[in-house]
Amino acid sequence: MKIDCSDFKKYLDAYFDEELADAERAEFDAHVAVCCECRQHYEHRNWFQGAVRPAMRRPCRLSTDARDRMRDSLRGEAKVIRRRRTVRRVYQVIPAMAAAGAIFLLVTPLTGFAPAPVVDEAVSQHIDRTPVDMPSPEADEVERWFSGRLTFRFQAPRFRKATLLGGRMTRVVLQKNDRRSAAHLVYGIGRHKLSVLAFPAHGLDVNELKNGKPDSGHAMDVHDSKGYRVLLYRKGDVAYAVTSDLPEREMLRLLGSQP
Amino acid sequence: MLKRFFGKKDEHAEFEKIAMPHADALFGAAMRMTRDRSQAEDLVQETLLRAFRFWHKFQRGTNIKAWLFRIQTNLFINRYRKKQNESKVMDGRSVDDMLDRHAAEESTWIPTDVREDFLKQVLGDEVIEALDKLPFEFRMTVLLADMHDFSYKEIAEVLECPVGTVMSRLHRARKMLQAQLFEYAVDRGVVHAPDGVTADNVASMDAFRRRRKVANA
Repeated sequence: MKIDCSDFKKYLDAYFDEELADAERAEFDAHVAVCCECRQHYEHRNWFQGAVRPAMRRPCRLSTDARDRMRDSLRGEAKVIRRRRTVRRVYQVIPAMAAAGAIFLLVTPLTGFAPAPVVDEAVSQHIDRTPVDMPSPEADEVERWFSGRLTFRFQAPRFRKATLLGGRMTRVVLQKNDRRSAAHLVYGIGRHKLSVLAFPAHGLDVNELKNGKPDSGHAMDVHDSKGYRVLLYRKGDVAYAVTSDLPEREMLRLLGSQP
Repeated sequence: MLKRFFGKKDEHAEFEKIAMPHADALFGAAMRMTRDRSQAEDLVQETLLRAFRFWHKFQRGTNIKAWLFRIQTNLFINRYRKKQNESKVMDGRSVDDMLDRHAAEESTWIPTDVREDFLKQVLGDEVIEALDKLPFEFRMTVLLADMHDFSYKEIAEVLECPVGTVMSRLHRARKMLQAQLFEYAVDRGVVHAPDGVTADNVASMDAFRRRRKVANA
């Protein structure tokens, strides 16, 4: 399509500002080459724009004071934005942390989160090679020996396949200010050693063991520490920690073998 | 991760690096918008603060200058324009009158032989004065095209109007500018008024006021 003078005048600015597509521009170039009147229009526009632009583009600079003021206000705004964003993010994190905490509190009892100090104490007593104070294979005799020495009464477990080797007085440290007198019984089962720590159970959240089975259908508290298995249970007011390097299943079987 | 949690400190540095170099250009435009230095400074400051608040929304790699000008133009329209004294600006009727007086663009052409005089006598503060008299939308279109070299598409984005409107406004605005400067030239005797248009009625009130000022001096 060829353009006419009316189109040329109408789109003169677009032509001058190089806003036309290549093909359109070629049409305008062709027209201006042959049309004297339109060429004069173009030339005047070209001259006029060239003449007024320098005046229009006279540099207009912000004063140093104004610029400094702007930088200061930007710095202040940056601080406000950072503070606001941090607060917003903290508020975003709080529900997540609360949810994580709730899950932790819900799940840990199910996974048998027991007081770590008891388990550690049981293992350290188990590996202690101090000789027993009362060497005897008779549980009744050992119980009698302890009865005058401890403030609580306990029953030495009678395992079918394990042989009692004796007992000794000891202490368990559950917390910084919580030291309790305890009985440490040592058993032999084949080539393995088995320890039973008996101490007052108050304040400890461990399953009650009745007739060799945990009460209320709860799973037995079994913990692994330093390569040893520690079974925790309670009978009345006395807590028992049974420690050995035997497999878990065998230890549970042993525990269930009590008369 | 902690840096992300407590906020990106380098956002401020990035803004300083990318946006602040355009402060003078914004100020130049703000001067033509407000025609008052202190108001122009306030407008630029507010523009930069607003831009910084929404810095996260700026799409990296796009035209920062157009983005800043768009913020400034919107800010001016919404906040400052109402307070403006628009008495110096031609209203729609004056624009139509002027375009009627010079319906044929050729009538405001500056002949080749007087162009030197025209450059010396008319193309100083008169250009800015003539520009300032254009209605806001026309003034902004010329300003963005001729002072800041924005493309029609960018001008359309800044002024939030179609490209066709930009073309038509630019055409009329340049014609008005040319007509006004021609009238100044007539008033100063650089060019002769076209047939039927006398020096007395060409520049109307402006010419009258200027002549009165000279007479009273």
